[in-house]
Amino acid sequence: VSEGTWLEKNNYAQFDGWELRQLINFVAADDGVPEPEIIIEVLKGCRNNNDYALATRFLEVVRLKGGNKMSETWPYIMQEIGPTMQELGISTLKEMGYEEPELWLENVDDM
Amino acid sequence: KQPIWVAPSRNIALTSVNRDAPATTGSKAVLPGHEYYPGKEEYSPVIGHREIVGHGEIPYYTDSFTVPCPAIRFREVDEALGKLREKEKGDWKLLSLEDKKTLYRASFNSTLEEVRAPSGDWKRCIGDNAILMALMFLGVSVIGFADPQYEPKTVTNEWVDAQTEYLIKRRVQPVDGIASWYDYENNKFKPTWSIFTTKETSKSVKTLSEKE
Repeated sequence: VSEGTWLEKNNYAQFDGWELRQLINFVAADDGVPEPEIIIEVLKGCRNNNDYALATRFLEVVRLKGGNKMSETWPYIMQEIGPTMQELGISTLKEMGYEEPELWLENVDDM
Repeated sequence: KQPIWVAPSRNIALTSVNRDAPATTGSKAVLPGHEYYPGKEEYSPVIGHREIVGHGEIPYYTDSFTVPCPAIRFREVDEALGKLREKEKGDWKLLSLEDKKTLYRASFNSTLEEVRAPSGDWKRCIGDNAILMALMFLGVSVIGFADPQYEPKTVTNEWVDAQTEYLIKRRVQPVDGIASWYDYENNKFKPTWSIFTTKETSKSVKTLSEKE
């Protein structure tokens, strides 16, 4: 993501839970993979709000934003945010088993 | 009153679009795990005892890649979940894998990978169509071939015999067709004609060969 779209001086780490979710929805709508600096701030914001599920959801979004080039972007990002994840205690998606579908849920259109 | 944050704007536009600032609400913990929002009681018949966690005038839950964080959590609050939330406030390294998974499933119904996974509906479509086609073929074979009313007259042996007699007299298709399978010197069908005969039609063939 280019510099002009996101604020340089950001205080995403002090955001409320409501605003963090708004931010993540904007990240999902934006056309690009967010930079590691933004990811780290959002994870710290999740830590301050005591919401672990939101952090994993955000990491899933970041991974799927790569699209067809997921195999190139995701290892790079894991490389950059690995230390902070170990500090905060967030486990990776592979350890959780969320890089592949876990449960089969019936599609609402087929019920 | 200045907003706390501004929606990200792109440099391409001439003017930066400042979307309406969201109302900031501090989360007052009434019970462990419960977040209070003025108007929560109004939505309880719609969403139950689930927490409202995001913006949205009518909060509802969806799983999609375009809106990954909906306005409400998925599961209602129990005593066990309340205890987990207090544990969540501490160090996250003390959480076990099961705790993390229950926390995720309490907020979200499915992972985004499960949203992308195929449903396998094409098997049902092809199967239903195959059953219907089988019933159709069954009906045609049972009804169409049983009643002589539905049998055209060109299928009877009398018609076919007269037809072959006419064709042979006119010497139709002498190279690759019917006249090439008839021996005009001996007035007999050649042995290859037996491929096209059945037990019923072989009688007519014998009569033809005996006639001429």
